[in-house]
Amino acid sequence: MYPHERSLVKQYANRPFALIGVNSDRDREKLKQVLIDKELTWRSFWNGGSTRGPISTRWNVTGWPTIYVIDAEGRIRFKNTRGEALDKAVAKLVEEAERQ
Amino acid sequence: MRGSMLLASLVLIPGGLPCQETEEVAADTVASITKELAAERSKWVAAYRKIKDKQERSAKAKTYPRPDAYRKRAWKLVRGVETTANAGDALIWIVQNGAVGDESSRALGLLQKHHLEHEKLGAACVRLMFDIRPVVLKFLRDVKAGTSNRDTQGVALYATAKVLMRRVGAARRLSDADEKLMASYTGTYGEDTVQELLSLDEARVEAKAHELLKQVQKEYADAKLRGVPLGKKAAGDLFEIEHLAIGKNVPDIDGEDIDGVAFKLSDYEGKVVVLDFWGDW
Repeated sequence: MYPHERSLVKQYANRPFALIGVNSDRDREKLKQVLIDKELTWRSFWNGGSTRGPISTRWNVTGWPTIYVIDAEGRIRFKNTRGEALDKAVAKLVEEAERQ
Repeated sequence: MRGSMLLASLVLIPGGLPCQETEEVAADTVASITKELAAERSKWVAAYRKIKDKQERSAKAKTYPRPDAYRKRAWKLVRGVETTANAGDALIWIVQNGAVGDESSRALGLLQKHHLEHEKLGAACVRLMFDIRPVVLKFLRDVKAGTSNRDTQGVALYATAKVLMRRVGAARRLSDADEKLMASYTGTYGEDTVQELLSLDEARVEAKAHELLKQVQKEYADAKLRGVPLGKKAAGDLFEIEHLAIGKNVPDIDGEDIDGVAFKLSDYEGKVVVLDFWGDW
């Protein structure tokens, strides 16, 4: 997943797009090192150090990764799309946002 | 019937018979099958952890011990003695350990016919939440209607709602699936299920799932699934349906980042956001 996420972030730099994570790792300090080592530049919410943290619980997330794609107006448009379908979804919504 | 005949013939075996052979006949149980599979897997995990080379690792990853051969052994505990509690144990184990297609249908049929009161039937229903075949829906409905065990009733009802939701999700993904995805669904669930899902009335099924979850909340809130009250489970799913469905305005997230700096999801309004629940594992 990381290479795909990295390429999305790179491809849509300076366009109306953001990749936001909700991270459920246990060890915050270790995670900071992972972000540096693997060049993960996007911002993540801290889910309290657990897959049962407050954000994933409220969002009823039981599988990882879970992905939501939200349009520029804050509407949920896609859920759990992956691979090419995710690329297509993002391309469509970014174009939509730029047309407005 | 055959069970007691086997027992009788064991009793009649003359003492001179090699001990090992008698033991082998008598020893196989769901417990020993479970134990042996777990042992094989932990051996595999230990070996996997020792591998440092990335390529070697991904080659090894493909050899994770499968339960298929163990299921064959479990079936031997069923044949001829389908109505016994031991057979019920074995059938539940089969459902929980990767049975698909006809094999799964056969196990479900026997469970429905002979084991509606089995105390572990709820555990089988939990596993079935991840299936989308019509045969699973029918099974869960029959269990709910037929068992007198309240926990099992609750879990079967909750699992029915979950299966309906998964069917809606699968139908949506199939509606613009490429050939590869289509083949993967067909391989796992069969052509009939895929065809049926392609013409699913998504809105109606979603409404039904919603209704069932409310029923779980109302009637089975205190029944438990792996220690968690079903009422809490259903509330989570209802929140997802009411606020996290396609087309809904996204609920805000007010939290902090990895460095402890506060931020909100709504800070990104005006941008397309890919929200990714992830972990480095």
